[in-house]
Amino acid sequence: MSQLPSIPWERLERRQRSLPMKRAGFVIDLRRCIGCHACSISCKTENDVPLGGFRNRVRYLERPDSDRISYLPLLCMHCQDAPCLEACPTSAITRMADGRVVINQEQCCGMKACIAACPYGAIYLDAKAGKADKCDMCTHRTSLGLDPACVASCPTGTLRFGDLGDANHPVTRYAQEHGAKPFKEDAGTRPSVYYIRHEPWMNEAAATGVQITPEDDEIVYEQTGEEL
Amino acid sequence: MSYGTALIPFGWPIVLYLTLAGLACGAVLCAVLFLYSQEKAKDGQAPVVFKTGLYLAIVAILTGALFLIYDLGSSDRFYLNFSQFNPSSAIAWGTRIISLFVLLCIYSLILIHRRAESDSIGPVLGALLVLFALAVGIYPAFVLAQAVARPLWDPLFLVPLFLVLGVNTGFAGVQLLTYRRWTDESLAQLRNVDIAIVFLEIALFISMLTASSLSPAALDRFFKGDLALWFWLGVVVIGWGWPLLVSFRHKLSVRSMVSAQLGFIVGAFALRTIIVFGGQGPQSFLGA
Repeated sequence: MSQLPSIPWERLERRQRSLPMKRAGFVIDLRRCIGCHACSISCKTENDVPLGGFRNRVRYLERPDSDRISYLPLLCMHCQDAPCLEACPTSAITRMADGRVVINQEQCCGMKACIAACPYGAIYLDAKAGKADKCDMCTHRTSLGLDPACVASCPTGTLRFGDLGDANHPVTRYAQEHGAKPFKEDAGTRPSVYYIRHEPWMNEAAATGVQITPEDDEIVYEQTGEEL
Repeated sequence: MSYGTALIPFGWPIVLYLTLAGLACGAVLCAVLFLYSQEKAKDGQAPVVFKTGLYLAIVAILTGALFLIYDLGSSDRFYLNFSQFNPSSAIAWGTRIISLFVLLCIYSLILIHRRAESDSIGPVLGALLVLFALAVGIYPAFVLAQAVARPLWDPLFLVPLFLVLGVNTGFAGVQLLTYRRWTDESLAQLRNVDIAIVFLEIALFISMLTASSLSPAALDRFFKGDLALWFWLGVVVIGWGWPLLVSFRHKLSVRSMVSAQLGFIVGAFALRTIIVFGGQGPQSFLGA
C-alpha cells in the first residue's frame, strides 16, 4: 500500500511566520463565479455546518436586464464597524488582531441579536446547539498558513484571501486593479470582503435570491418561503 | 412568515416579551402617578392602585422573561446574560434594567405594606420607579434599532411609539384590575387619556412608515400582505377604532370602558406584532 504524501509542515510554518495579517479579507471576482457551490459545500464539510445552516452561500440572481443568471457568493463580511459585535449582549463576538470577526461559542447565549443586526444575513442559528455561527475565515486553517476552505476549493479562482491591509499583497493589488467594492456600502459597516463587478441591482436581489435547501422534507426557496 | 432564521431572528416569544415589558412599564407609571396624584385625597384608593400596578408589573416582566428563556431554548444560556456584559449592547443593559426594576418593585411593595398608615414611598423611590419603568419601556426599541439593516426600526419613532404603547397597555391593565373602583369622574378622565393615546399612536405609526425607506413590497405586507389581518383587525378595528368609538359616546359605562381597555391591550399586541415581523423578512431588508 502506497504511503500518503506527508504534510509540508516546514512550508506551512514558514507561511505562518508571515502572520498575523494587518487586515484579513476576501476579494470575490464575480466574473469568474460559475455557481458551482464548491465553496458552500467545502465550507460545510470543513466546519461541520449543520443542515439548513450556511457560513457561505451562493445566491442565484435573475438579472433584470436579461434572462441570464448571476451568481453571488455571500459570507460574513468581517466588517470593521460590525453591528453584530455591538449587538451581542454577552460579548461572544470579538475581533481578532487581523480584523476578522469571530463568535466564541462558549459565550454565545443564542439571543439572535447578532442575526438581526447583520445587514448581510451572514449569521445563522445552529438550531441544535441554540447558538449563532458564521464564517471565521477558517481560522484553524489560516493559522497554519493555509487558505480558507472556500478559497482552496473554488475551481475558477473566484474567491481570493489575503491581507487587505498590505498594499503590496497580490490580493490587494488584484482588488485595486479591477475596481473591487464592498457589498451594501451604504450600510456603513466597512466590510473586509470586496466584490469585483458587483452591480447595484444585486443589493435587492441578494435578499430574495434563490438558495435551495432542504427544509421539512420539502425543497423550498429558503428566503422567500415560496415552495417549488 | 416562514422565512429562514437569518431574516426572521425575532419571533413570537419576542413579541410577547415586548408587550409584557411595555405593560410592566405602563403599570408602574400608572401606579406611581396615581399614588402621588391621589395622596391628598385620603380615600384609601391610592395604595390599592399602587399595589395593583406593581404586582401586575412584576408578574408581567417575569412572565416575559419566561418567554425569553423559551426563545433561547435553555435557562443556562439565559444566565450568560448576567455573567457576561457588553456595554454597547442594548440587550445587555436591558437585562440589568429589568433585574433592578423587579427588585425596586418588590422593595416598594414591602415598604407600602409596612407603611400602610402613610400611603407613601417617598420621592426618591418614586423617582427611581418612574426612571426604571421608562427604561423598561424604551430599551426594547433600542434592541430593535441596533439592527441597522432593518429600515423600519428607526429609534426616532420606535422609542416614543414603544413608550406610548407601554403606557397604553399598562394603564389599561391597571384599570381592568381595579374597575370596580371607577367613579364617573375617573371614567371621564380615562376617556380623555384614551383619545389622546390613540391619536398619538396613529401619528407615530404613520410617521414611522413614511419616514422609513421601506420598499413598496415591504409596505404592502402591512396593508394587503401577510400582516394585513393583524393591521386592519387587530390594530385599526380593535386597538384604535373600538376605544375611540367607546370614548366618543356621550354616556360612558364601566362595561364599555372595560371593553375599550381590553381593545387597547389587544391592539398594542397587534401593533407590536406588525412592527416586529414587518421589520424583518426579505422585503424589509436593507437595499430591498
